[in-house]
Formats: sequence, structure tokens, C-alpha cells
Amino acid sequence: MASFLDSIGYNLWVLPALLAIPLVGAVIVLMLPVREPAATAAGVETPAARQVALWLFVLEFVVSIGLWWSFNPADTGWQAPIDIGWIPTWGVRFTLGVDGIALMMVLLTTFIMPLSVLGSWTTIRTKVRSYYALLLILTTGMLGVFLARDLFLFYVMWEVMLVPMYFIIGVWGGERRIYASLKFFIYTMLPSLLMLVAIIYLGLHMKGADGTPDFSYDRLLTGAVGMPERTALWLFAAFFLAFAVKVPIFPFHTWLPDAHVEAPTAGSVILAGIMLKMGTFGFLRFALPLFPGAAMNPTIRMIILILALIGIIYGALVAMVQPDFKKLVAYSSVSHLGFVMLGIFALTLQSVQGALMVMINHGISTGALFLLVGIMYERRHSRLIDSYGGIARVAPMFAAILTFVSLSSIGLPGTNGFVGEFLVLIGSFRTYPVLTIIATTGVIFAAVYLLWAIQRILFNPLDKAENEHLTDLNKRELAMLVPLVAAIIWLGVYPAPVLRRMEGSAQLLVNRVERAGSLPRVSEAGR
Amino acid sequence: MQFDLTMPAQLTSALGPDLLLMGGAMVLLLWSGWRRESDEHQRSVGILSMVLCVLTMVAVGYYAYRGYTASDGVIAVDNFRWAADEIFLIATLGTIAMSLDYNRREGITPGESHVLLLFSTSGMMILAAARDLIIVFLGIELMSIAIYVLVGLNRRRERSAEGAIKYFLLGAFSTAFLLYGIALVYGATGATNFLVIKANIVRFNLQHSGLLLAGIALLLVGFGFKIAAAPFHMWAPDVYEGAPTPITAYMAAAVKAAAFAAFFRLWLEAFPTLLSTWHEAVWWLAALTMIVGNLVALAQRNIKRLLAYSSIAHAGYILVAMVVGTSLGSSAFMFYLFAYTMATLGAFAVIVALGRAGEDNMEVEEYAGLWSVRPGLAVAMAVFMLALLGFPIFGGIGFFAKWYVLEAALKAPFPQTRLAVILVVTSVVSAGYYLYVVMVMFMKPRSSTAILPERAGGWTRAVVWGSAAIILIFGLFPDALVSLTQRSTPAMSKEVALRSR
Amino acid sequence: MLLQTAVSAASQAHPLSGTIAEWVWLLPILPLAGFVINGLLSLAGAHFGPTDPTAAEHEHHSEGAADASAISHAGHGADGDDQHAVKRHRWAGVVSVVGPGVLILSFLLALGIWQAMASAQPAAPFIQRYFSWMPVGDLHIDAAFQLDQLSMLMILVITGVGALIHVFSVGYMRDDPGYPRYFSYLNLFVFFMLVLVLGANYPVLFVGWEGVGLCSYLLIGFWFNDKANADAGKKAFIVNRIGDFGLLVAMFMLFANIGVLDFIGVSAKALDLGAGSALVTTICLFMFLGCTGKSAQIPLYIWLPDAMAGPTPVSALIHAATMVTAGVYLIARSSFLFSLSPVASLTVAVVGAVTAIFAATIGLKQWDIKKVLAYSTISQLGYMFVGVGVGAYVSGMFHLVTHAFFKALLFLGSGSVIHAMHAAYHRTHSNEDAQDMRNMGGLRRYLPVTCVLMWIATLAISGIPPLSGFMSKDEILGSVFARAQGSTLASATWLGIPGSTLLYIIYAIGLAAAFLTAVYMTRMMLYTFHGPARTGTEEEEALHEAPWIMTGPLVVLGILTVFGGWLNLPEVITGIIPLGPRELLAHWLDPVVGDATTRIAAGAAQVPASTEQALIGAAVVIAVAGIVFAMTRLKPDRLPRKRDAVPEHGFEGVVAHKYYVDEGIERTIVEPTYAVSRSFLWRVIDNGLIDGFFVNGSAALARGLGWVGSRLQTGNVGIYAWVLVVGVLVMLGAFTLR
Repeated sequence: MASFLDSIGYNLWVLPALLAIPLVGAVIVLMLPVREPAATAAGVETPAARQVALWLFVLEFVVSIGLWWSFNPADTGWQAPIDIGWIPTWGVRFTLGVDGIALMMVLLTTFIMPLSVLGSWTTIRTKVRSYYALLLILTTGMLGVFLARDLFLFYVMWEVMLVPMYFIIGVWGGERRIYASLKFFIYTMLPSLLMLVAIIYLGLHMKGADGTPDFSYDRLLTGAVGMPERTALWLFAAFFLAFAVKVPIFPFHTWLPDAHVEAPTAGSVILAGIMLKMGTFGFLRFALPLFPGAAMNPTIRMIILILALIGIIYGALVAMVQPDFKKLVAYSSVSHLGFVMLGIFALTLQSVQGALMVMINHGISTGALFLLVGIMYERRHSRLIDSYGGIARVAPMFAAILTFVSLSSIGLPGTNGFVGEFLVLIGSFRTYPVLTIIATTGVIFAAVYLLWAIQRILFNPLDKAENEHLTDLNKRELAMLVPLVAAIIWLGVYPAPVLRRMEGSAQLLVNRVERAGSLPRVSEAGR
Repeated sequence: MQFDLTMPAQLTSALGPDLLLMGGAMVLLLWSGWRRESDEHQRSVGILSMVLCVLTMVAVGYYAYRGYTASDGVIAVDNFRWAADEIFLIATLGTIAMSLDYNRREGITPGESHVLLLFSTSGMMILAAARDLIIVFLGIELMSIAIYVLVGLNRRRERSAEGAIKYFLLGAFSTAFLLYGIALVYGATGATNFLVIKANIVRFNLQHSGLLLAGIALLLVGFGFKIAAAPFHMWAPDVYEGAPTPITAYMAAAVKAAAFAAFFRLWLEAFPTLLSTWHEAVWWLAALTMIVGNLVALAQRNIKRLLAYSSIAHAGYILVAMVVGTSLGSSAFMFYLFAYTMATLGAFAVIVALGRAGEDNMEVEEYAGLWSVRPGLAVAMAVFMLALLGFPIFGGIGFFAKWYVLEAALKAPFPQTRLAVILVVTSVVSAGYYLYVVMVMFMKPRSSTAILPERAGGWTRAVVWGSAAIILIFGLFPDALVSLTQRSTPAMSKEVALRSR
Repeated sequence: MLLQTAVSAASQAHPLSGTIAEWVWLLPILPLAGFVINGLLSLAGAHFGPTDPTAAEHEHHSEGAADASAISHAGHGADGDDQHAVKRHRWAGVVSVVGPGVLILSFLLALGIWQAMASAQPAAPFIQRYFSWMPVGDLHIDAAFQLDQLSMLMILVITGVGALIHVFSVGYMRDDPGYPRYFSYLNLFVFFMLVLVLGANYPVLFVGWEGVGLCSYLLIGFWFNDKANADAGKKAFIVNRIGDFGLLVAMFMLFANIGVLDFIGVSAKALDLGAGSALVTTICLFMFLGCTGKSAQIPLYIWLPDAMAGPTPVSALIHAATMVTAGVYLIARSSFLFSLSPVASLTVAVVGAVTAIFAATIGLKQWDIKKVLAYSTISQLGYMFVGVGVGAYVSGMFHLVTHAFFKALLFLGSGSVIHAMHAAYHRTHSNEDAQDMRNMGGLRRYLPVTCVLMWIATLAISGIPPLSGFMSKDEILGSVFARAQGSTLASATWLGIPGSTLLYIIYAIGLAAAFLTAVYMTRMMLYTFHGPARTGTEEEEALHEAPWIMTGPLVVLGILTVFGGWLNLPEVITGIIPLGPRELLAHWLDPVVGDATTRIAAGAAQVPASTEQALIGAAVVIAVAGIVFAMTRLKPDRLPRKRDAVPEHGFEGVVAHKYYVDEGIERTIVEPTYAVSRSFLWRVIDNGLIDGFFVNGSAALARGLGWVGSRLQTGNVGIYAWVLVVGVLVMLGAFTLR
């Protein structure tokens, strides 16, 4: 496989191709001829759009999957790098590259996207072309964030994600979509702009010989270490806020339940499955390596870890009492991402790898949960848990998959969920045993809220007449869920290939941050 | 080639593009009065005015291309001037283009309205060139008097007349302060030429002269009024709302740019040595303007008033570039001006396109569901809103403009981190109203009683798509523009960059 | 591929390599295949709907009524003469072959492996590594199986007893609409249980550990249409999770301190933790928390009685014979750790003893036949923990095995009873409780085989020689007594109490619990099978013995119950009566737990044979006394039927209500947690403080300020002029007054 990829020069073009395919695709989708809903059998406006979008995403996935083989786990540097000038006067370059951390995120993204198209298949009936075009543009933005090696480029991509999602929530969302979309936008924009200030500051700090700023990640990596402690703290704070909101870390999480609940199914899937990872990815890629001193400052580290713990337990407790299943899943994300934060800031190889695994797993499991909620909603137009009950009798396949996915979300061994949480916890225990023990109780709460919810949906008496004729999954729904189920089992049983590919980058990160974090600080006075 | 400004012939040459525009405008004025008022005539005058604008742009471009310079004198011959001129001319071009359609719809027949715009623009060009307080005053008056008339152009609308009167009264009031400031500065330094003023301040050690400082304060007030910086902004919303929409666009884009250009040059060429003195005042002016503009904009439901406050807020952002007082600040200033002009022009063009005769439909809510009936205009408007918001890619150069200002602020000899943070936070506030417009267009359903807006005129659409294209294309590849603006700094401002408090 | 990677250098040298033991991976894979096949059949059948439209109608009708009674589906017209049309699943025939078939194959394979093992007599465990599961830096977790004498024993029990129960289920569940689903769960359970006992490291064990919990959850809630059943399943899972939390923490501590998690590695490095150190004690206690969850010990026993909501064969397999004993297995497996910590070991023994007596008292007052057995199971598990707690790992495992026999027999027997009762009530469309002993009575006339077999099991559990229960229970009590005489435990102190005193107390508790066991078991038998029939005359006609496919397994279990004690005949008995070879099991397990037993028993004095004989005598006397006590005190002919029963008062009432433990937990933990989460965390913190005050508050503040600002904009030029003048003055002041 690797030699075949070499023979077609895969590494030379794959990354730009990954960014370009969705963009070109968006244009193609937008240019499709308009067909009014009345003219189509499915009652969906311009049904060709969704098919074209689906095949584009499948193409994107097929193109990206080669990275799995072309990626060399032994090489901790950038792979398949691209470096093109963009705005030379500002020292901005269009540089892309993939490492072990980005690799998995990219594959997760390209894996989730076609499924989210399937999840939107019948629910999106109006403005179909725009919807899929926005999904495609969004994909470019998300992949760009994972692939960028230049902080300016990273920031642009980071913001680019925001607008399509704003429209997806605001146009195709639920009842309170306008409030939710604006909240989502402004909530994430504020800290992002503060991060922008920090990025500019960093770029200026690193200015080259000719006075132009330098935003190259690799140069900043070496250059930012010697920064005065106070400055580093402020810059870290800006990055932290931007990422913390995206993660989200308690108490910056309140945009999430609204956005997740109001977004259409695909929106929730992408938000939870991919976009939440931007925050934790940001910590791994930027906040920690660039400001190891600030991040490893014992006080700050402890504060973040405690916030992560609060997130784990608080998220679970609040999830427990939600009457709306989608909101429950949304709050469960707060809890799961708490594990990721714990893993990242505990900073051992196991915990970081575990955090990465949880990121992947959460994308798959929570993505699947949102797809399932969407399936429920499509049939009954209710997300309230109390509207259901006993539907396992009429929809056994749905029940089987929902139960299975919930179990993966709970972290049942043998599913992906366990591998991630176990690694996070076992790694974190090495550095923060007491906090880890508290975090481990999250495992119990997860079971409480999810099992209680699925009991009230799937089990108990079938006592509502509306539910008696619910139809089970159809072929399209099976087609979008089966890959997720397969991924859940695969990552649960044989995660070693994934872990091996991430190990080099994770190890490099841990070493880098630990080494730099333990350097004597240059104090402001001594400058 | 270097012009020797002491020689009248060479001075005239140095004013070549300005004179071209002014002379052409006079010819057009005659031609416009030659025939009876009619819509056709109005349009033909307008089109000829646009041709004249283009010619002037070419001339400016030629001067810039030849790299002319000049000895010290009453006017400057530098890239700053040419860049500013081009921005004014683009704005004028856009304004005339949308006026063509607007005037037809509103039944405004005098072709002189276009010519007045040209006169006003020539005043701006003089402002951009001015290196003498008297020339500054001349430019300001030339520019303003035409505007006073233009605001009241739509005689049939009470609001229009009211706006004109308000603008005139307050404008006169503030011009008095400006003039008084000029007098005091002259009194203190014995000069009106920027460069002489600067030299005299150092020579006579006037850093603490009360007379000079009071003069500077009054100049600041005068310019503050023209750029609508808080607390001298009160006129702007009423006037912007009352004025015919193309004129509003012109005021928001070109007039503001011109005032800024003169302001910038005066401050950096005449008072760089007093940076530490005026710095704080401008700092507060910037902060206050950003805060007031953005906060009050949140409460607006009328699209023109909303954009009026937005333009106030943008004056604040531009002031940040001024506070920095470096050549980087200057190129950021020029870049921002360009981006802002394009976005404002485009936004007002959309308003014109969606307007109905009588301008009674300026509530944002009336755009509800626009996406489903006029998708193109809705998307264009979203681009302009995002550009004004400073959003990358979708907002095109709007983002780069903010980036540049932030970069300048952070790179200053004493970095304006706090101001940068205020800028950022108020930008977030601005999302509250820019997105409100977007939300109404895209997310609210079209009410069943809403009237379908007529198809916009070709000129207006050209302005909409032209500015959208410029915003988006430069939003992907800003490098050419950046290097242009990097060369467009006032000739004398470089030394300021090296000074610190 | 599995086999290729499996061959490692270590296993090649092993005496078992190259033998049938290489096929150990097939043991769990067979039931897994069964799960997949049955699961797919279940979904496929459901998808295509019932084959017979009238059957669907019938289902509708009967399930509507079913909601009233927990167990209504079970035995749904098991007999041919039921006047209703029976709606069997369309794939029931296939499932009846596949479901038990895979288990029987597995059992046969296990026998083969056992044969190989018995002849090879390996001293070291046979490790099969299949692939690397979680390799991260210095953490190496392989998907690996470990075959040694301990896991072999468990495998035989699981597949053997499991196969019997599977066969029984064919008769018991055949007419249930969820028949394929039932067998898929049951097969899956066996898969996980085998993973649990085969796992070569703690994480793989944990896979099985949680997996069996999952299957327990699914099977308890098998008839999920009833909220109580679904609740019970959920409760089981969550309570187990609390225990799993302990096991997880124990793993973390092991890894953090010695860097390994596989059994061989940990046992090799266990001494690095320090014998008797606080660290090893903490690890053991956390691990024991896991055991209390899985094996239903105080304080986490509360789920097991509720778990009786599942089909009765499930109770037999999961909640009596196999899964609940996993905790005992884990301690025996981790004997290299527990033997290092006398304090932890004593804790295990104390908790076991207290649980044994506590559950036995509750068992005295239960009316539901399965609940009696449930508390009996908890109590017997307590005995096993006493055994492994005092370091008598063999005795604990011995009791585990014999208990698997007689408790499975009791449960299946009760299943047979319920099956008959249910058929009877179903015939008369009665809504009476088919599991309540107050509705039974006199069933020996209709179910003679079941009655005899259950009496055998009752005598066994009560400790009547020479039945298996007597042998194993006596061995535990004997070990406690022996350890009290002198051992590392006796010389340790536990919460200030000297170890030897404590062990004597445990011994006394054990005897007392044995007495109670005899009492409540006899009570159950009397009320169920003796005295007058309380079913009602019409129902009596329908009462009859279950078909051979159900009684067959009962008979086999009956034989095992009688002769199970031969597995490990103690010297004190073989010394008197030469019944057979002595201490077979002890010899078998010696390579695994021998060192640990020796370590913990260090310094133990040899208990004189006469003392031992006296102890045995005492135990037998107590058991007989219990039976006689129950026989004389209880009057089955005077028992009112359930609907006529009056509630108990006073202490009897408290016991009947299980000491109000469930209610207490509900009030003190569950409800407050929900209340705080809902009304404080969600409403106040999330919606009120963060979202309401900070987020929307700042937005409202901005809008409010904007509104105020816009109010200043009155349109009055005079005001504008004044503002301008004020601005001018401020500006002038700023520039000149400095």
C-alpha cells in the first residue's frame, strides 16, 4: 500500500487536495440546478445536492484514508508537508503538515462527514444546496485547523469553521435556533479574538531578520520558550480561553447545550464529533508546547485539572436530570471532554494518548448518539425522554444500536470508550492520584445518566399510543450507523494501530512540555 | 521627478489630478445646467461623472507610478496622498453608480447632484494633499459645503431636510473650533505649514505651551467631529438616516476617509514630537468611540442608523492605528480605510437595491427572509456584514484590516495591548448587530405580507458585486494590497516610529 | 492469524504448548459466535415480524396483561395442551440448537483441555498472547489468555453448569417472543465470563468483569416492558460500576507502583509493594470493593435480590453459579496480593462473615421463592469470602464450585416450580403472584422429581454430610478456626481488634449463619412443597412436572450436589472413612495459590484431629438443629395466601423489609443527588449563574447600555451642541491642565 501511494506521489498532494475537494465541491453543489420540492418524489428540494455531497465526502474519505498507510509512525516530524508563500509581507505562509495527533483527527473528520450527510438525508428539505455547500466548506475549515502549521493560517481556519456552523444551526435548527446560533457565535468569537491578539503578539515576538513577523509553528516552538514568564502567562491565558470555550471546560460550557440541541442532526454530530476536539487539539498543538512554563505552572495546572474534574462530575450530574435526550447527550460531552482535559494536563504518555483516544471515541460515540437522537426525532418530533418508553419492542434494531452506543459512551471494556478513559486515568494516576480517583467516579455517573435515559426511552412499558407504530431503522440509517458501530468495536478491541501512530507525537509533546516546563524561568525583572 | 512647490507651474503640476477632477466637474456642471432636468439627463451627467472619476483615478495612478515627490511646501506629493485619493475616487464612483438608480427611483432629477459629489471629492483630494493648515481648512470646506447640500437633496423628504440643517449647524459649529485651533497653533508656532510647525515646536521648545496644546485640542475636536468620533458623533446617526442613501454611503466612506487622511497627516507630520501629549487623548477618543459606537449600535433597528453607529465604531478602530503613530500604523490605517470603504459602500448599495421609493422601509426586520427571495443580495450583505465584523475569508479583507491594525497596535514602540483588547472585545459586541442583520435575512421567515423588492438597477448591482468581489478576492490574497499600503505612508512619519515615551 | 501470533517463545517451552490447550481461544469464541448468530436471528425475526398474523394479535393481548405481573412471559404456555395459540419466534428451532450447542461444544473442549492439563501437570501458567491491546509507552496490555489450574476449574464450572442451564432454558424460555434474544445474551454472558477467568492480566479480566455485568443488566431487564425489571437491571449495573471503580483504582495503583498489570508480572513484583504495607492494603481494599460489587457483599449487595427479576435460569447461571462468584475468583487470582496484607484479608473475611449472617436473617422473612434463594446466595458468597479472606483460597474455591452445583439446582428447581405455577395461573387467567410461596404449598404431589432434588440441595446447603455443601462449608469454618490458632492473620490487628479474636468471632458468626441457613432453607421447602396446596383447585389441575429437557439438567445437578464434595475430601474425613482420594482440589490448585496460602498461614499450628472432629460434629449438630427448628416451628398448613396475608410488625417487619436498606439509600443518596443536580446544579448554577447572570447578563448589559446611549440621541440639535461643547471642554482640559 505504501509503495503504491509513493508511486502516485500521494504525500505531495494529499493535504492540499483534502482542503480543496470540499471547497470545489461546495461550488459544484451550489451550481446544481434548482428543483422545487414539489417536483421531487422525496419532497426534498434539489435532492441531487445530497447525493453529490455524499459522494464528495466519500471521495474525501477515500483520499484521506491513504494517510493511514503513508504515515510513518517512527517519524515524529511533519509528514506530507506543504509550504507555499501566502502573504509574504506579513510573514504568513500556507504551510500544512500532519503528525500523529492530526492524523487521527483528520481521519475522524473525514469519517464522520459522510455519515452526517446520511443523517441529514431526509430532514433537510429546504435550501438543500446551501446546506451541503456549508457542510463542505465547514470540512475545509476543520481540516485546516488540524493541518495548519502556521498560526495565522490556523486562526483563519479556526474562524472559518464558525460561519458555516452558525448558518447550519441558525437556518436549519430547532425552535430556539436564533438564540442558540448567536450564542454559539459570540461565545466562541470573543476568546478567539483574544487568541488572535496573542497570536499577533507571538508572531511579532518572533520577527525575522527583516522585521516581518513570523507565525511559523516550528519557529515559534523554539522561540516562545524563552519568553518572560509574565508574558507567557498572559498569552497562555488567551489561548486557554479560546480553547476552553471550544472544549468546553466548565464554566465556559453553556453555549454547548443550546447549540447542540438546536442544531440539526448533522450539526450536532459535527459539533460534538469534531468541533469540540478543536479545543483539546488546540491545547495539544498550541497552548501546551508554546507555553510549557505557563501550562506547567503548578497553580494553573491544578486549576485546570480541577475544572476538568468539575466538568466530569458536574457534566454528568446535570446530564442526569435533563428531560431532553439531546441535551443530555450534550451535557455528557462536557463530562467526556473533562477526561480529555485531565489526560492532557496530567501529562504522561498514557494520559495524553488516552486523551487522544477519548477525543476519537467521543467523536464516534457521541456522533452516533446524536444520529440516533435524530432518528428518534424524525419519527416522533420529540426529543423529550418522556415521550418515549418501551420502544425497544417496536424498534429492536434501533434499541440494539442505541444500547450499544450508550455502552460505548459509558466506557464498557471491549468498546472504544473504555480504552480512552482507562488510558487517561491510568496515566493521570501517575501524576495526580487523588484527582484521578475522584475522576474515576465519573465512570459511575456516566452509567447512571445514560442507562436511566435509555431505560426510559427503550424499556419500560410501551405506554404511548404514538409509539406503537414507530418504524425501525431503514437501510439508510443502518448504513450510517453500522460504520460507527464497527469503529466502536474496532477501537475497543484492537486500538493498537491507532495508538502506535499517535505515540511518537504524543511522546514528543510530553517530553517537550516537561523539559521546557521544568526550565528555570526568566523573570520579568531579570529581563 | 521632484516638484519644486515654490514654482507655481510645478505646484500646478503637483496638483494635476485634483485640478483635472475640479476642472472636469466645472465643465460637467455647465453641461448639467444646459439641458432641462430629467432622469435621462441626470443619468448621462452621472455616467460622465463616473468617466471623469475614472480618468482622475488613472491620473492619480500615473502620478503614483512615476513616483513623483516634492520639496517641502503647502502640499505633499507622496504615496499616502495617492492611496487616499484612490480610495476617495472609488467611493465616489460607487456612490455615483448607486445614485443613478436611486435618483431615478426617488424622482431626483438634478444632474448637479453628481457634480456636487465631484466637487466634494476634489475637496477630499486637497485634504489628502494638504500640508498646510490653511489648505486643510480649504479642503474641509470644499468637501463639506457640497455635502450640506447633498444631504438635503431629497427635498420631498422631511428627514432629508432635517438632516441637512443639523449637519450644517453642527458642522459650522465644529468648523469654528477647527478654525480656532488653527489660529491658536499659528499663534503658538507662527506657522501653518506642518513641517514648519514641527520644526518650530522643537526650536522654540513649545512642548508645554498652553496655547499650542489648546490649539491641538481644538483641532482634535474639529477632526473628531468630521470622523464622527465619540463624543463628537451625535450628528452622525440623524444625518446618516436623513440623507439619501447613496449620500449616506458617501459620507460614511469617503468623507470619513478624507477627514482621517488629513487628520493623520497633520498629526504625524506636525505634531510627532508631541506624541506623548496627544497620545493619551487620542487613546481615550479611540476607546470611547469604539465602545459607544458598538454599544449604541446594538439598540438600533433602522439599518441606516445601525450602519451609522457602525461607522462610528470603525472610526474608533482606525483611531487605534493612529494612536500607534508608526509607519506600520499608517499602512494599517490605509488598509483599514480601504477595507472599510469597500464594505460600507457595498452595504449601502444593498440598502439602495432593496429600498422602495420614499425610503420608508429602512427597518432591518423588513429584510426578513430575504434569502429566499433575493438570495444574491442577502449573501452579498452577509459578506459586507462579516467584513465589517472583521471575519476571515467570508468577510474577506475585513479580517485582514483588523489584523493589520492589531499588529500595528502590538508592534508599537509602547505596545497598545490594552487598546487591542478593547478593540477585540468591542468587535465581539459588534457581532451582536452585524449578525442581527444576517440573522434577519437568513433565519427569519419571510412574512406573507412582505412586498417583494423590485429588481435592483444594474449600476447598484454592479456596486454590490464589485465591492463584494474586491472584498473576497483581496480577502484571499491580500499581499498586493498590503505592499501597496506599506508604501503609502506619509513621507515624514517614519521618524515617529523610533520615538518612544 | 490468531494462532500464528499466539506462538511466543514462552509458550513454546510450556508443557501445554502443542496440545489441545492451544485451542483455548476457541472456548470463548464459541459462545461469542452463538451470540452473534442468535442476536442476528433476534433482530431479523423482529424485523420481518411474526409469521402468523393471529399470533401477533395474541401477543398483543397477552402482553397487555403481562404488564401487571413481572414474570408473565416466562413459561407462557409451555405445555402443549394450552388452549391459546403459542407464538414462538420463527427462528426458535435454530436457536434451540445453536444456543446450548455452542456451550456444549465449549464444555467438551474444556474437558479436552482439562485432560491435557491433568496429564501435563504444568507448574507455570500457560500464557497465550494474541495481540497487543493497549501498548502505550511502558504500559503493555496484551490481549492474552492465561490457562492455569484456577482458570481451568472456573472454565469447567462455567461451561459445565452453563451448558446444563442452557439446556434447561430451552424448555423454560422456548415460547417467549424474545427467545433468540435471550440466548444471544446468555451466550454473550458465557463469552465474557470465560474472558474474565481466562484473562492473563487485570484489564482483560476487567473486560470480562464488566462484560458479565452488562449481560446481567440485559438479562435482568430481559422483560423490559415492566419498569421494575428495567429498574432492577439498571440498579445491578450501576451498583456493579461502583465496585468496578474500586477495581479500576486498584489497577491504577498497581501500574503506578510496579508498572505491570499482568498476573505473572504482578505476582513477581508484588513483594516490591512491601508485605503488609499500607500501599498493598489499599490496593487490596480497592480491589475488594470491586469484589463486593460483583459478588454482592455488604455494602454493595443491594442489587442481587432485585436481579431476581430476570428469567430464573439467568438467576441460576449468573446470579448464583458463575458471575457473582467472580469476586471470589478475583481474590483467589490475586492471592499474591491479598496474602501480603493481613489487614485487607481480615477485612475480606469480616465483610464476608457479616454479609453471611446479615443476608441469612433477611432470607428468613422472604416470601418470594427466588428472593429467598437470592439472599441465600449472598449469604453463601459471604462464606466464600470468609474462606479466601482467611487465606484458605482452596476452601473458598471449593465452596464456589459446590455452591455452583447446589445453588444452580435450587434455582432451576424453583424455575421448575414457577414454570408450573405460571402455567396454572395462565390457564385460569389469574393475576396471582406465581413466585410467592404463600400461593404454593403441597407441590410435592405435582412436582415429585423437583421436590426430591431440591431437598437434596437444601440439605447440601444446610451442611448435612456427606453432601457437597457440607464438605466445602466445613472446610471454610475449619480454616477460620485453624488460622485463629496462629497465622499472619492471627498476629495482625484489625481496627484495634487482635486478629485471632476476630477470627474466633468470624467462626462463631459462620456457625450462626449456618444455623439460619438451615432454618430458612427448610422454611422455603416446607412452604413450597408441603402442607396443603394454596393455588386453588382449578389451578391444581394444571400443575405438573416440567418436561424432560428441564428436569434432565436438574438430575445432573442433583448428582453433582451429592458427589461434589469428593472434589476435596479433607484428611479428617478420609482419616475416618476412606471415601476416596483426599484434597484433590487443593493439589490441583496448589501451583496457583499454594505460595499465598503458605504465606498467610505461616505460623499456623496444626489443629489436632480431635478438635477438628469436634468442630465437624458441632457444625452438623447446628445444621440439623436448624432443620428441626424450622420443621417444628413452622406450620405450612396455617399459612394464609398472599392476598390474605397481614404485614409483619416490629423487628419481623424490619427484617421482612430487608432492614429498609434500599429505602435508606434511596432517601439519603439517590434522591438528594437528583434533587441537587436538578434544582441546584442545573437550574441555579448552569441556567441561573453561568448562563443567566454571566452570559446573558453581559449581553443584556451591553444592550442596556446601548439602549441608554440611544436614548441620549433625541434628535435635538441643541443637546448635540451641548454635548459637543462638553467634549471640547474636556479635551481642552485634558491638554492644558496637566
